[in-house]
Amino acid sequence: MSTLALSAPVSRRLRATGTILAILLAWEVAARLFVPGANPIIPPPTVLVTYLADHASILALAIRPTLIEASAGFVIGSLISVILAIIFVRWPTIEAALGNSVVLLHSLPMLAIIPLLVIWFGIGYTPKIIIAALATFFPVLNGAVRGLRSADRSMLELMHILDAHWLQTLVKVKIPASLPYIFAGLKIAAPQAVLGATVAEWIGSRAGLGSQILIALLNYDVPLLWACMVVCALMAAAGFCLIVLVEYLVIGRRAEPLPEQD
Amino acid sequence: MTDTSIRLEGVSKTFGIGTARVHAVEKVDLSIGRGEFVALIGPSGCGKSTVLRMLGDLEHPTTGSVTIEGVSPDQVRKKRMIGMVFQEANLLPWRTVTENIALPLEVAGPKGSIGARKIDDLLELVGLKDFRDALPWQLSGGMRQRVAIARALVLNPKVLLLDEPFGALDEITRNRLNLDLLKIWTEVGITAVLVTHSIAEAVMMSDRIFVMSPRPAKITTVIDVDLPRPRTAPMQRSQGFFDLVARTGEALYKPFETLAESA
Amino acid sequence: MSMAQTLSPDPAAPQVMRQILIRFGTPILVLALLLLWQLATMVLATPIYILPQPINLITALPGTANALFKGWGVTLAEAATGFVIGNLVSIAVAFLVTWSSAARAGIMPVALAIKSVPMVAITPLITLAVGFGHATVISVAAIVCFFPTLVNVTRGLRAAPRASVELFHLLDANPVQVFFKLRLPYALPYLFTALRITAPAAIGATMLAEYVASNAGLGYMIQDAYGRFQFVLVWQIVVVATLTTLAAYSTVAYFERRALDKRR
Repeated sequence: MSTLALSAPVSRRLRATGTILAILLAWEVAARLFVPGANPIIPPPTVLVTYLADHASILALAIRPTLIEASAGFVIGSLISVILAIIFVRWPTIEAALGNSVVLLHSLPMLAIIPLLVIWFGIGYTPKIIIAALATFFPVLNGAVRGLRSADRSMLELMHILDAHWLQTLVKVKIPASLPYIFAGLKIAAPQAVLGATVAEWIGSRAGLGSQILIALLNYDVPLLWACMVVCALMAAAGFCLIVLVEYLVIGRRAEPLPEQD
Repeated sequence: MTDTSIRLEGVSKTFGIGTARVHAVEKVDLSIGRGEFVALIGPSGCGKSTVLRMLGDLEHPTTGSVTIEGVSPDQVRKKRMIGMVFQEANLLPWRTVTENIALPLEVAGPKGSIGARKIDDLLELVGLKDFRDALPWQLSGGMRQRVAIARALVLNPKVLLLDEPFGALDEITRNRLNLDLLKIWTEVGITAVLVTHSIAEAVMMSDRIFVMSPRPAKITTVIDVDLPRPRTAPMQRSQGFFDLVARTGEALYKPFETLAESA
Repeated sequence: MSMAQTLSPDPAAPQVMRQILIRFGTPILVLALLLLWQLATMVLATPIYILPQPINLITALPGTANALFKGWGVTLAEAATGFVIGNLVSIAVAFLVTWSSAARAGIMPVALAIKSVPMVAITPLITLAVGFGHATVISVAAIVCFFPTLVNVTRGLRAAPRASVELFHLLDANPVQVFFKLRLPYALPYLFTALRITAPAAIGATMLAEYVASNAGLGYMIQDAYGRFQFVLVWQIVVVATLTTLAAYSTVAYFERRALDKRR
């Protein structure tokens, strides 16, 4: 293939970046033109950036609790998911019995659970960690179960011929095969955990990004609100990128890209 | 040979632009008579499918002309005179066998369906009468291809194009389907062009075999298959058959053997 | 262990047992938990604000049924409206994106990036712009439905195998025929997946939006009840909300099974 033509993924990423820049530019122009005033509903990006710079310390203070809650919830949720996935795959009867319960759990609206958690655990970190863990739980569980089952049948047959113990098969074949799927789940879960923690803070909290957002809302402080949301989005994106980095370190280029799933 | 049905003159086809150009077909000339059954055979990726697809108006030649009954494939397609069978049966999974065969009738509408074959007759012809209400997932690969053949014939086309239709099947099924296809072709009396990379299949089915070179495709040899019709299974074990297979094989492998010798 | 046992699910438990577990596993678990809940609260005499007894939830109904029903009606109406609007707009954009590569280049990167992000976080922003009340809640629900459906339906519209598209070209089918006979049926599974995801999401998002930006509906009622120490009501709302979400999911799943049944 010619070296002049950029490879498809690179050109796609360039196009995406270009699109984002174009959107930012359009936003800046449109905001200045159409939403005039000192405190517009939609501030231009430049104003936003300056606000962020000016209030960096306050925002940093607000980020800390949310970050802790989201990270703790993410780690706990992921660990439980993977262990549960291993159990499900090893003992399908358990999966058959509990599968629907997982769907049931998934149907509980967040707003229904949070007040209960707050009643039981107060407005400290615990409820938010639990919510973040729940938000992490489903994507990672899905990914892990799919991944563990994705091992090539002939590989499994080989392990059987070698009279391998199920634990060996698990560690040597199933888990490596499952890694791409687990990381796909983690990539979905990381932003979910951040947002779960943030939304949980709306409902009962003393500190953190979520409560900062509510404060901004109640005070009609538009720039603060935007700043918090931008920070929240950045946190979610950072979580995602972190997972991508870890995935690269763990799997590297060895895995084929996954077929598209949702 | 009766009057000419299909003619390719000086046809070449190049894909892509600039440095990523792929020269698929080079200066192909051939004529096919009405009612003839011909085979295009060549190594994988040589461009023989491209030639077939040009007949089906799925590709356009870069140079040269393609005509069917004197008219461009585009217009022939619009008059729905072409039937095509692909390597994958491509049945619509939510339709029964009957509904799948009926698809061209629905698309063509009442006007376009004048002169169409009856679905029941086709089911009888391809041997699937007992499966008229089956769904694709319930059928074997060979059965699905039969449905695809019936579907290709329902509008009574003048030309039947087959692109390695049995390539995905095992040899035994393939053999049986070859004989069935011959039976169908004899009854229907249509011009047929078969792309294949099985020498035995080409010899068994066709009146003439066009042997093509590795990419870019050129016709290197034309082999007249003088076995009597109707062809029968025992003919596959006759001396005449083996000779033809040998001659075709020689023509087919010559480019590779020359390369090996000169290396 | 035999090969069959290692490779295929648990044949040690007979098929019948398996079927029973699949169908009744969850209900049995739920009933068991309910029983446990009732017994535990009775035995431990837990204060009502920690954990009311399930019985309490039922006995309190006559008093709260009216308010519950009204709130439930509001939430359902807002969620349904947002669901319909969000999905319809999303499907329209999916069409646009499929047929215009310019639109695709501009919209899809953003959509793919945002599709897993619960857009519920955007509620405060919309509240500022639109104000408190139903409009905001419905907007949030609609936005939550927009991105997942966009991504799924776009995929679905391109799901028809290439060779089938060529077959239709060969048959000289017009675009309407190609759409209704080929693209739409292939897109249907993707559409249903999107609806299955967005139906519960719309309800959840509606409740959260009500909490922040409204004074009606289940989301608001939870906050209100909590503030007035009406803990039994809080629990009742939780149950109602959960059952509604489940019902929404099951309804979509039912129609999905019926529509896609033929193909396996």
